[in-house]
Amino acid sequence: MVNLFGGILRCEIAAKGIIEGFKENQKTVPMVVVLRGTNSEEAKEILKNSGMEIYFSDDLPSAANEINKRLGR
Amino acid sequence: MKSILNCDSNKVLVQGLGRDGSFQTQKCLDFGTEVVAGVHPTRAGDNFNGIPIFGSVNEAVDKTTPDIGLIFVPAPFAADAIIEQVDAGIETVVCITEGIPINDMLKVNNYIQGKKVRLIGPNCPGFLIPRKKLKVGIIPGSIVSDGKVGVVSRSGTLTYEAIVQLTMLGIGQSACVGIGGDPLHGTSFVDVLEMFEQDQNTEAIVMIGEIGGTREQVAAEMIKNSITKPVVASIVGQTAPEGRRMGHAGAVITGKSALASEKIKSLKSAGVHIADSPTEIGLKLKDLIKD
Repeated sequence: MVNLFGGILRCEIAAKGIIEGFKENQKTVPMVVVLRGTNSEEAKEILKNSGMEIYFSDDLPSAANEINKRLGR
Repeated sequence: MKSILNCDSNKVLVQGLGRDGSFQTQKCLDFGTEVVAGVHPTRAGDNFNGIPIFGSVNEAVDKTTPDIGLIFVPAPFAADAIIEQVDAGIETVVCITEGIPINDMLKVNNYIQGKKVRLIGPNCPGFLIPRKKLKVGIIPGSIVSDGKVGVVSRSGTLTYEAIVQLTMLGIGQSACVGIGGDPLHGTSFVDVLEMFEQDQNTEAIVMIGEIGGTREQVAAEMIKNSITKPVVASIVGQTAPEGRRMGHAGAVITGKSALASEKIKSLKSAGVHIADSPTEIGLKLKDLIKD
């Protein structure tokens, strides 16, 4: 689960960081991601194009629901 | 000291135009903010999208008479930047920088004692007034809307969280003010609450506090005695372990009064409506203004 509301931190920089991190560790896990604020749309595009298993949510309550759904709860 | 909410002139000087300072200054301009000057130690004579850059605050103030100073200067030099702006006669100084050494801030706080200056921050997102198209800091302009709710918070992200919830519910903001997450800071909850109380554009208040210090208790006392407008508050860090800093330098439980539960108790006894989770702030306020 990633929740980021970009203010001074631009979401697209964080998105690139997430991809780099998984690359370095040569593994990936499904993620539920909430991205809002500065450059959030660019960040979503970057993550969408990464090939990773990512589910986007618009806010925290729906992200919690999404996680429960993915875990089969 | 004058309120930041009702100034006729809001010309902004930006000090520190590095990668983030430049990017965020452009966002302020895009929102409609009147940025009149930049200050950078090695770029005097240059310009930022047509805005002149000066080598010192004094020179910039002489030439462009700004009302507000905005600081993106890196932490080791940020305290000096605050003092430079105060010395140049800027009356509202907003410092975004995180990580200013506490010893530096001790000096700043002593220095500005008794001087005619309002310091907002440091380690804060600044302030934004939708009605005036005035954005001084890093609050995302895309999530705000004009209206009657004043938002004040110690946390940047949670300021945005509250704002976006309000906006999604069709509730606009009169002003959004981030006071910052450092233990030593300028403007506090009580200062902003007082401004909201006096402000005819504000009809209700959202206040977001967190563990550490006693600012929320001081605010509660003040709300009990002199705030007539409805207040919704959320206090974060309810599950934080004692002694561990939670993101902000000032967000650490050092004793009983620093606990979220103690702050909530004080605010409740002052008649403040508590949103148990920061995700419920918008709905709580909506319920309140419906009545």
